[in-house]
Amino acid sequence: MEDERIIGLFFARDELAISAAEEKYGRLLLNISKRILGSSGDAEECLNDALLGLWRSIPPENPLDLRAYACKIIRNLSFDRLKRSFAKKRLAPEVPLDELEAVLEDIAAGGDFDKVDFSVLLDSFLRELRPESRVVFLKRYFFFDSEPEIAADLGISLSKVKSLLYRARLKFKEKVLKEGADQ
Amino acid sequence: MKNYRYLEEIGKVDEAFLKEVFAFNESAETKRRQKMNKTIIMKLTAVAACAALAVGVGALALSGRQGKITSLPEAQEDSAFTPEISEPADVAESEPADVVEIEPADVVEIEPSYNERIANGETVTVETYIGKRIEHQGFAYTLRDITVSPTFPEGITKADIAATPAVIAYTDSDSEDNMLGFDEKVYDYSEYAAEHGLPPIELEENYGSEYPWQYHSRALDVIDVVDENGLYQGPMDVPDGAYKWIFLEVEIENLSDEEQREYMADMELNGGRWIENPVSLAITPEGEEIRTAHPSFYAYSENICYMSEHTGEELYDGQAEGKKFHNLVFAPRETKTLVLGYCVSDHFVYGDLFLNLHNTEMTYTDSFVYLPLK
Repeated sequence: MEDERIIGLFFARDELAISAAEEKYGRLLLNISKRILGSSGDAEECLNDALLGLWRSIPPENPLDLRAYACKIIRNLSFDRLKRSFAKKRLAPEVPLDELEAVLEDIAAGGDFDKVDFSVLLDSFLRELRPESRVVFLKRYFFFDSEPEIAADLGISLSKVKSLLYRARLKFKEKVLKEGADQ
Repeated sequence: MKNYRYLEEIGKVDEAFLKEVFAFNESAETKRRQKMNKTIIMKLTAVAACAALAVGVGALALSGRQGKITSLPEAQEDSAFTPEISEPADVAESEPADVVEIEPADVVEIEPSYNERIANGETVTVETYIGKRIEHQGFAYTLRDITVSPTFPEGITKADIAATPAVIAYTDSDSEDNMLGFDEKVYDYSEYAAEHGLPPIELEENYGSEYPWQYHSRALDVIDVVDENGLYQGPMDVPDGAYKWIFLEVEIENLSDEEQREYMADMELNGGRWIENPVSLAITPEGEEIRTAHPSFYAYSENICYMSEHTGEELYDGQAEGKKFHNLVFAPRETKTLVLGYCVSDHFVYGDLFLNLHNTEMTYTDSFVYLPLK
């Protein structure tokens, strides 16, 4: 079913919208959640919450891209769950934290970041990247694809993926540090 | 508690960027499917041909028993035996290879006297090239020196060189990196191979069109020759002693210290390594290191890193197992000058002159350079 039609069903408050969205994007959403949470059971629950989120938010929201919108919802829900689970000390996430650890440490020591508008900064950072780097960065840190998966998906070598990510992380760090220092 | 703030914040990304990711995925998927279609079509064609042949042979056998030759049986035209196969557009209507014709002015001749001197064992400097300036993607390079030597690298024999993946600039026809001021050709390998009767080369799934120039592992004892216009002239047997080495010393004018450090860090990230007593280095699939005296240079090659980390099982495309190679790139540690060494024949130089360096985003260039030596 076309996205526009699914969105139309949401607007018409037709519950068929939920099953249609699940059928079309359920697997993608489940994968994102599973990569964040490392647990199929938790990911399933997140998927249900995400579908409910779609139902509650559309309308009034009218997303330009239903898939991207749904991905953001399940990502947010999964991180919420991740934080709660960490509080209970029962979760070992699969998200690539190690790669960003150094960046995070430097950022934490480098300025006042609570004042940084991260979404503006992120968009600005991504806009400065070349398309290929941007896609690789998002596949890794938004969708949490593994490096070999990215290489296979995009038809590029693993070493190239690593290089692109490495450079993107450096730029990301520079950008955040600069913005933080400017605050 | 772990801080997920920044990973979480990435979730605030503009949806337009996510749409771009989806588009990339779909584009890559389309390419994969087209490739698969080609394979299926080839197999189907073979099956159909076999079926038709079997029917034909059967008909002949039958007609022989009946004592006369009949026309081919109806069954041959039956769709069950000769399935109608429609090729996808990219197979049936593929564009001819995008060949960039070079301007005569771009062909830099090496005087015959140089060849004579080189043949006598002398290393000569080719002044004609010096000062050649190339601009690309914000960087400007100037060739500071070119020398040609008959003997480099020390310790590498003709047999080693003959086993080197050889020759030829095949690049993506839509490459953005066709930037060099030298004579240059741009090929699509599949077109090129079909045109010249070369065998198709199976590509590993993970190494797609990104490395088209690496699809070739033809021995150097039969090399492809280009004429003074950079046009393909066919294979040529290279006589003994025809091999020389050429060194290009290139100064990068506007590479900042920071960019230089980044570049070096990238190289190390990719498995390149600093060499304690810097010499040029090549590593064979057997793990053997070939070192040659060339002081003060950092030797790096993406190929080398793969070879050093793995056995011959994980070679790049075209670098067939068991073949030695020496795809050498030399870069000094402190300055902004690169020295690149390439094997040459009497007829041309080949090499991906600037490899990664010219591109700040580390998207590997797929440019090659011919320097015909006339």
